[in-house]
Amino acid sequence: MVEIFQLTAVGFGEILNGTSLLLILIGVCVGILGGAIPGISPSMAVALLLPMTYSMTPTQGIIMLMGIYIGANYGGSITAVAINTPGTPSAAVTSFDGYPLAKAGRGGEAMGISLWASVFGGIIGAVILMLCAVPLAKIALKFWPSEYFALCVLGLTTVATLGGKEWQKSLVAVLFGLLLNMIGLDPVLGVKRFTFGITALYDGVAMVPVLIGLFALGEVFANLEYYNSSEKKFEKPVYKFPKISYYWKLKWSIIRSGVVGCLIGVFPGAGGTIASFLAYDVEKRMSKHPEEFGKGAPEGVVAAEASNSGSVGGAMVPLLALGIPGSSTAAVLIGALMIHNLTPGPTLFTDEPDLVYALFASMFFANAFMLLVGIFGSKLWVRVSDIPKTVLYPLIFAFSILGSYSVKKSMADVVVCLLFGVIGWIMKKYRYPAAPVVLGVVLGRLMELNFSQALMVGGAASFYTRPLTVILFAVSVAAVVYPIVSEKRAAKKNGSAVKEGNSSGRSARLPR
Amino acid sequence: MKKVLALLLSLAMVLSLAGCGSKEPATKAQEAGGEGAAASESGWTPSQPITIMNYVKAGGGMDIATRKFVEIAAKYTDATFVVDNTPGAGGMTAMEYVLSQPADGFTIFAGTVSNVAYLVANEEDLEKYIWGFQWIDDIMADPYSVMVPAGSDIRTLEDLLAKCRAEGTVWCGPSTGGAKHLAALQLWGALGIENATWVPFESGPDALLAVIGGQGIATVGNPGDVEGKDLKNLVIATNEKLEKYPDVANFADCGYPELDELNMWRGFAVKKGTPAEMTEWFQKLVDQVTADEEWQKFFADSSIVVFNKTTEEFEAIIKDNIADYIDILKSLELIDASYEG
Repeated sequence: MVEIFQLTAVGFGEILNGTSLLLILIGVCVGILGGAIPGISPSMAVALLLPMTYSMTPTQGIIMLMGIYIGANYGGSITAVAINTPGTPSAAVTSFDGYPLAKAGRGGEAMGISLWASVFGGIIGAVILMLCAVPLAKIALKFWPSEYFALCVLGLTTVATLGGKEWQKSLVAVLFGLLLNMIGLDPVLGVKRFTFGITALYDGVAMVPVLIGLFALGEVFANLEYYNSSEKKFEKPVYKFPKISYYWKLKWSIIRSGVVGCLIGVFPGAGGTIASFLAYDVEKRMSKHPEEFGKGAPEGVVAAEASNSGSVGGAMVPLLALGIPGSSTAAVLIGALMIHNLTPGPTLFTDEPDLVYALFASMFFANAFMLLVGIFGSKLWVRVSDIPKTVLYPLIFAFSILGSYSVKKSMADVVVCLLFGVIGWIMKKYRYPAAPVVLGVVLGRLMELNFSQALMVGGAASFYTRPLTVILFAVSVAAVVYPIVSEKRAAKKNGSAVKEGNSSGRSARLPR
Repeated sequence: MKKVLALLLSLAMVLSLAGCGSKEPATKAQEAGGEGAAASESGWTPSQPITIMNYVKAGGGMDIATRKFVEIAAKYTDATFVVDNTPGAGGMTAMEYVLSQPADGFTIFAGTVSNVAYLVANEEDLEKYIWGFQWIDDIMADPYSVMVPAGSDIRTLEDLLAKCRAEGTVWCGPSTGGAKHLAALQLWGALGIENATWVPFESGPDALLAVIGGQGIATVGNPGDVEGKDLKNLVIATNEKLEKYPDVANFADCGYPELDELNMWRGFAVKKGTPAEMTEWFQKLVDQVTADEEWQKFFADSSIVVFNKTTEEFEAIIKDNIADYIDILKSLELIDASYEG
């Protein structure tokens, strides 16, 4: 342990110079900008600047890319809050509560929360990475397909909290999301499903265009329908950012979500998006006022942002301890290391300890810089609500089209985005929540692949003989059953209370 | 004040939109070092930037090779190269993009044997996707390697065969119908392994993780994959032993010399009909890069063999790949018996 701190001190020494700090700062700024542009994912943002690192030393290159990674993960939340357009898939969860807050004129609050939660979530991830990379990697190795499948099932149970009152509708929405995964080559045998000979459909529907369509375009279309020319702006916007004491009240949410994010981030393939859904679910269940979630609960924004920033630290665990990327962005970082003739993996700790600990140190600096840049930048962004709707909505529309095109430079994705814009609008009109669709799309492929893999590797027995799988299944069952049971109990209590002549104080437990 | 701010914000959004459309920064030739000796001789000059289109994501194997190529090519030409990535549909999306561009040599496809495997396994039109191109330079061979966890009690191919022949075994690897799966099928056929299952994973690294975690007995990968991981090369398909793994057996050592011919190529192609002057110019450039010490060292470190096999030789290799893949997939009834490419 003492050794870790000594080495970290060396790491800090390594990057405490003008050039390194400037590179981290540049990385963070580029990352935030990239993340804020829908269609540029963190991995693309890192890849875009990869060639610039050729002429740098390996340490300089990798800390700049790390800055981009961290910045981009936060950047996605800015547009999610300001205009309901998640810049990255994991920021979709941020928009559940961030956008309602902004719409209610509390944009400053939402921006502030997402920034502080990102920064501290990121720091929690970095600390966990530094202290527990090796034991966590051992757990990652024990995670077989049956565990991944069970984790996905657990992820699906979060739909109960996403739905709220009309849980049937959210079930329909999540099934729709799961069914969307049927499009494309099946992940096990490569059989073409619903591709109609169109190459663009071979890989299924891409996540980002679906996301932008459902959220951003859906919102634009719905607003067009009810457009009132006399109403020019959102209601009395409050730009003021909360005081630090306000964030202090959210500390436990930040810590919980940061830890959840980092732990889920460790498992390759699961990543920040699932982490943000799970953290959101945890926060909603722990909250004293769960009915506010989805309508502008600060804890909802915290959960999403702290967890997806925490997942960055998690994704670095398998990279450093096993030589395997924990996320698509980490895969680009591996490419960057290889270009510099370095071998990612545990040998890095012995061959290049300076680089590894400089990398750890840079994660702290990157988060600190993010706070500075974010405070300044989001003050500007929050004023988006000053833009008249007649200008803003066409801009969002253009933004969405270009965003979905730029993912793969594909017109097919633009069509997908428009189609899902219409679907998003219809869902909004009939009050179907869009969030479960995202959940279904994220989990569907992972579930199908891991289900088949589990059967191929260990047969049906793997679902009930592996302890970790059984535990995850048990937690999933409890997650669904517990609220129902406690609801019934509360109803019984209320029932007797009504008999006594009181008006019913309905339980706010989930699902309602 | 508010109006000014609003205007500023709108401007900012428009600017970021413009950002969406921008391409990757061109990796420009920094020095005009050996000013295109090739250019003047062959009569073709790169009058505009040349885009090399990758079908893998940034950071993928071919992407790294392409970027290294462009970096070293800058020593020999002042042509500007742009490395771009259009992933999707096993390379078909990138291929379609290149085929949609004029056949003027300013768009080059960076392909690998995986493209051929994907096209055959999906019974695609090879006349369009393979022979719509002229395959101008095969630049490297990444040997196949059979890998097992570092701590495994399997020490030789014989040990592995004994286990595989005695019971059903699980091999973890990348997608079904991919080059590594097809190589595994070829190996199994030649080695008489009948009861093995290929469990496909989302990516190569995911599959390696599964093998390290003990989910399968072995995997087929490339020798360099073991670096930094708890894996060891059991046998490497190569005629000459690799510098980095002099003690690892090749298939000839185990009595199956024909299997040493299996490897993964990576190379460049242009749309059919591209002027011969261009392809000659480019092939000459590839010769120069191939001979470059930095290039050779970079790939020797990754245990990849570099060379430059031009059109005739390259296309013969691809024809062999296609015939082999069709044979094996038909024999396992994974593709339709009537498929001829």
